[in-house]
Amino acid sequence: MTNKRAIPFFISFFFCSFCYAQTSKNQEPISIIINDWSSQIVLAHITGNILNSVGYKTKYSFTTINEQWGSLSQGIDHVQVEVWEGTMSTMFERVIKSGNVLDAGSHQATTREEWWYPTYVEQLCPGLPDWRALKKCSALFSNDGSNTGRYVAGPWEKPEAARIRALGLDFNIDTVKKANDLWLELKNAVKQNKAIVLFNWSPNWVEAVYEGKFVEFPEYHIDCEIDPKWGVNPDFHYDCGNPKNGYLKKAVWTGLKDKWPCAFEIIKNISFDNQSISSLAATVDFKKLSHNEAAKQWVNQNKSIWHKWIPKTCKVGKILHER
Amino acid sequence: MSDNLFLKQNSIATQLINFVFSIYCVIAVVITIGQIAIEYKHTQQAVEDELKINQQIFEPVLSAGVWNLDKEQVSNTLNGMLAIPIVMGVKIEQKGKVFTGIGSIKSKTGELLKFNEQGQTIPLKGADFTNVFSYQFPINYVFRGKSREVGIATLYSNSSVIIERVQFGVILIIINAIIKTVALWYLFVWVGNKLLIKPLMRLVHAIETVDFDELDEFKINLDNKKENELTIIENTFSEMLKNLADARIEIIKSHLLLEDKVKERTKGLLAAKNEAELANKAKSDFLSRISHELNTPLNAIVGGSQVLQCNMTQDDSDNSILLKHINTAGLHLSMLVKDIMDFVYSNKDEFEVNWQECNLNDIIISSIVMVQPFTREQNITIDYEQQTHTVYADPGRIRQILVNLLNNAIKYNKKDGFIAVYTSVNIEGEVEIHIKDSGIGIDSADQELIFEPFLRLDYAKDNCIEGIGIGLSLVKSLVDRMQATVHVNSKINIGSTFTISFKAKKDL
Repeated sequence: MTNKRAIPFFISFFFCSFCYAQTSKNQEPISIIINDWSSQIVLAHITGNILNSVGYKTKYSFTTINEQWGSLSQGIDHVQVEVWEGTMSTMFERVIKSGNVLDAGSHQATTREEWWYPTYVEQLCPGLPDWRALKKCSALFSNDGSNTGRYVAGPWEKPEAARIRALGLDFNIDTVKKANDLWLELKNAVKQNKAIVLFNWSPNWVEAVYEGKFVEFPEYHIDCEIDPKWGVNPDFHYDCGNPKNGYLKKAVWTGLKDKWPCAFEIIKNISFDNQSISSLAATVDFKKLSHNEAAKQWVNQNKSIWHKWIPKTCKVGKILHER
Repeated sequence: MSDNLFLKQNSIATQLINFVFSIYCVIAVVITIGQIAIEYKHTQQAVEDELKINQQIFEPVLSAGVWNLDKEQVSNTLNGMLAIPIVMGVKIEQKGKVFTGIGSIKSKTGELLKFNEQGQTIPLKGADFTNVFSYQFPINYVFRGKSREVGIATLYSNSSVIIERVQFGVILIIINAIIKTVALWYLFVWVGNKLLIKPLMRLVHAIETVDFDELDEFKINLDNKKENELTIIENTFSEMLKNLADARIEIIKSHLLLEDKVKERTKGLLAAKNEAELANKAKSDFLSRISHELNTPLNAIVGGSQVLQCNMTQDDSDNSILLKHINTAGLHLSMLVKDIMDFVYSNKDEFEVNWQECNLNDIIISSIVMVQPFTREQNITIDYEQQTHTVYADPGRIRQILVNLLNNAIKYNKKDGFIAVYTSVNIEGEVEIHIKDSGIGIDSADQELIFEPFLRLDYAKDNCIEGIGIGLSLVKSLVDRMQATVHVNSKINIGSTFTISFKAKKDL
């Protein structure tokens, strides 16, 4: 009698243990990279919310843009939702070439990262946005009364020093520690109507709040980075600006495609335009919502958009059986 | 090569020095090789330690490059590593695959590879280094507070690096060993020369030049300042020479004394010899004279008795018998006298041999005929197988010898016995005459005595056999005069064989 009762129990126990094992394996969270600027963080949370909605577990892992490629290549992190051409193209192309990272498609948005100034500066330094104007009025941008101007750089590695040297500009680089410091510098300069030139990018909330323009350096060409003879200065590299209309891509760890194929398809389909990204950034930086709140707000308000990004095979409740 | 040089090169001291030095050289070579091996091992360890230090220097830079898959940054770092003289190549692996590398490396299969400009590995043909060794360390990158292995770096070096480093040290070791060896060799030779070779050479020279006539004045000076085995040899040898000089004087004295005694004894012997010769001469003269004196009346007796016998009538038969006895006794006595005279004559210097070619067959037959009358009484037969041998000798003396030997063979034969006479040629080409009898034989102890004059064996005395004991002595004398030889071969109760050997004419 006892044996007859024990057999179904053991079968159930064995089956449940197997199910648990399968569930545990599939419930490994997808690690989404977050960086230190608002639009990227909000997009990461939106992506997380969408993946959660189809049953995936997600987590958000902060990393710098320099270290993120290693973590993606190693499979420590799995998704990067903003790959800016101006800042990250070299590294992105390198990891794509290595085969450790996959290109998960582009957003609709086009990007630009460049030296930027508020519009009123054009009155102080005539000739802007042409870069040559900076050569004449570098003293205007000085912070210490000298003739050497001050360029406020973001906390990301950029070849600004090389550009200043190649183009013969009389500027020092003042690098801030975080993106918010850029906006504080801008806010103070605008308040004092003082000349300022700083690193900015598009899409960004700034363009929605402050009127301003990018400095027009010589047009970007790949040879500018690899052939010193190219451009206005035959002796140095980087005698050109950053690419205009650069791409904004998504990148995933190669293993994601096999491990979470539905998630890969969703990420591929995610696409934001410039307006959406600027708006999302402003929600955080200007309206002072948290990144997660901004993301949830967007998710709630734009279901028709993101539902389209989910393939038909990836319906809620089915995701656990993909692997 | 002079004797001195030969001695020097083969002296015990030189052999000892060569042996010890050879052993030293073997030990020195082994120690030097050991030192070089230790030097090599230490240098290899130092090189490996230097490779380890590179881990601490380059790992942080490498880890960032490998983490970001930045081949350019990694290659720049590797170039920096390759600038270190001991590093022949560096390989960076990620997840079991070669990420990048520089210089010469080794594949997993042990093949030597080299990176080309595109960072691909190509086989390294005709590699100029062997015995590649490597040091491997993991490349760790700290991400989010956790150290993560992002790759493996392998640094390659090879024995040529070590050899390059140790060569100066090795040269110093070898020079040191050579200087030690040469210095030790000179020290060996100098010490050996001073302590052994020179003193021994002096000793050898002294021994070679010992003058036995001036032993008293002879001295060895090895010039040894310290007491050692050589001074013992020097003293012992000097002592020995002194004893030898004393012994020599004693020997000379003894020799002189002995010489005097020999002279004295020789003088006595010469006197005795002269006396004996005089006595012998007197004896010979006496025998010669007495024989001659006896021969004259004996001829008269024999001749007279023969004449009387011829004139006797048949009626005087008794007288006739008496005359016959007289005649026979006379003849016998005459023969004895003749034998004595011949024996005496044969020992005289004036004895002459009538050398000529002799037909032995005729001589033997005539001799047998002469003794045949005496064989009848004993019924003894004489066998003779005739052969045609000739010898160069005196035929009369041969006949005299044969008659004497045949007479003895008859006298000492048994009744109904036999005598065999035959000739032969021996292996030396000598013609031999053999007279064999079936007589009583001669004891081996007596066989050497039978040729002595006037010596008669006990058998002859006991059995009243006639004779005075000069027959065989006469035979021996005559044989000697003809440079022939006679010897006897006899066994008791079986018989005797006398053999006379004549030399060929060319050997005389």
